[in-house]
Amino acid sequence: MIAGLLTRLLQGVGVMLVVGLLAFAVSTKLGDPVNNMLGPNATIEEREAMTHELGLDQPFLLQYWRYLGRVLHGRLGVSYRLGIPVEELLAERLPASVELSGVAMLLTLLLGVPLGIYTALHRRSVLSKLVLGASLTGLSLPTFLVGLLLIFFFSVQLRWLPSSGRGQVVAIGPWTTGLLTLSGLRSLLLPSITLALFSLALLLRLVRGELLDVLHSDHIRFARARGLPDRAIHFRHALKNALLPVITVAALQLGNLLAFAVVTETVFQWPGMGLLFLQAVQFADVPVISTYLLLAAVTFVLINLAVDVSYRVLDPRVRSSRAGS
Amino acid sequence: MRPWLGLPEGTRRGTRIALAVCLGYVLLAAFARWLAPHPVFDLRSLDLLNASLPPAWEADGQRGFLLGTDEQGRDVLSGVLFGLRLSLLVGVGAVLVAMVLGVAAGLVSGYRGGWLDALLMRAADAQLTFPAILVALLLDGVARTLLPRSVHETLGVPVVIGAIALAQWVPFARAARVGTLVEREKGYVQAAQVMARPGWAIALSHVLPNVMGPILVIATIGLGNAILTEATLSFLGVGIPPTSPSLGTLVRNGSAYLPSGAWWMVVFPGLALAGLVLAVNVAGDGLRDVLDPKQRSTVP
Repeated sequence: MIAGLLTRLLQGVGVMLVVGLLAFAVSTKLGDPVNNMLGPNATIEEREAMTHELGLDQPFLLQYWRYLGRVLHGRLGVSYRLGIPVEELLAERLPASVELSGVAMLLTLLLGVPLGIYTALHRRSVLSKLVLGASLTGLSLPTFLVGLLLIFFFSVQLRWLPSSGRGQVVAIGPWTTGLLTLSGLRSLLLPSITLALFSLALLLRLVRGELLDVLHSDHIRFARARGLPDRAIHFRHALKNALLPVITVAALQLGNLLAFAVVTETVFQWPGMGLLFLQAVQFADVPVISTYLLLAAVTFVLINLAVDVSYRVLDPRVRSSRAGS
Repeated sequence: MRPWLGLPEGTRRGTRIALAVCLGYVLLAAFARWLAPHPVFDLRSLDLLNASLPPAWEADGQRGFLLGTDEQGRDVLSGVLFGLRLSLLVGVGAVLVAMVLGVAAGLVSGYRGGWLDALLMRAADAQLTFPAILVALLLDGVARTLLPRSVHETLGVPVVIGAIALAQWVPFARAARVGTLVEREKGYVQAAQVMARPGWAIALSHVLPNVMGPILVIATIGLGNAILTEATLSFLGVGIPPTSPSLGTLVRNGSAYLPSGAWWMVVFPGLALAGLVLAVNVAGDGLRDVLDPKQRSTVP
């Protein structure tokens, strides 16, 4: 088990190094930093001095090594668009994104799993059919359209909830939270529903499908033959097996939530990382783009690693068969 | 493989309806030029007096503009028809490019094996770590910074097609590789090898036709995703340039007027898009059950 995890960890580090190289290539090969800093009227001597000072006359791999060093020390460059160090921008924007994605993930799990179980156990009920139909629609509706429609009904027509921003936030040390004020919570409601809808629909259908599969398997038939009550069969024997693949998908959905946060944050002008990244793409703000690239790589490598670990811990079959590989 | 356009017996009713809807969308897009009541790209036909009209059945609507007009007096129905054409074009184009790239990589990987196989499959693994939409967004962002603005305006559509295709090649490559690994061991391939046909010729003329079944299924399912990705990129303002609006661009433009209550600029393009994606997804799922019952439904 340890060996398998180590291989995974090494692979993860490999992915990060490649993505880091990409981020570095983007940040150096685009535009001419010397030109940017000195302007067009500088002499050749001044240019050469600046090139040397910035280390641009060094071999590419050495430059990359130094870049990695800078990144690991938290020096990520200065945003072209805003003129603020990228690490400060991140510290300001990260809490908004984490709260949005976290609440959306919570909604996905707290609604998706129970609804999936319900629709699997009560296949013929009207409510099940309604939920399934709604989830198919949820899978086909583009996230941005969901957000816009929610804004139209609840903000423009009914005027119940705000359509943009985070509302009032409270600072706890370096972290700002909207979870402690009424206006913050009201602002969070529509964006988190928008973001959660797709993964909720996906998870619900997955839980239902897996549970239906398990309910047809032999060990459930034996449990029935033993005369166990339905409750015990469903929740002690079936659910345990059905939820294994669900954990994987749920973790991967967390990655999807982070990606689609770009869309949701744009629709609701939510001041998070996604909106920052999108504006950076539109303005070709290279330091922010490459930082986002790195941060995404770290996040997704960690998510995949966590999925792998959880699988090995939860499923004895994986533990024994793949332990040596 | 069974004849799949003739729709074999077991095809579900929902699949048939969805296929018919898809066909309807294709026809609407193909004949947009003749079906659209107004030439929306002809600036002379615009009249600001017709700006922001609601749909014809509302109190202030006009009969000439069935689904209303946008802020510059362009007919929403005509815009949707032309936008549909672009959305379909980009979606189909992206899936085709992804298919060619992925199948080529999968064939090489499976037939040659060795270090190339290892390299390609590790690259596929690494890319799957990232959600496709993010990959497309990043590729588009990089292309945007690399290309000068004027070039990017004219190359907008190919860049988006390329970005979506590169974000979606992995499933094709995996399916083609697995298929090739199975076919490679079969008698007819070994016979061709004995006859000393070159490797690329065997891969293309013997192996390829026999691994296409699952590939076509992946393509139909990928189409819905590709259309949705294009719409999302365009909505975010980093996809198709606004000079030739796709459905996503129309929603983006309309969303600015949503707070003033002009819902029709967002709702009609949005519903057209959602209907298209729903029909493609249901049709793709149904076709998969018919063509390739072994694969489990992605939409269980």
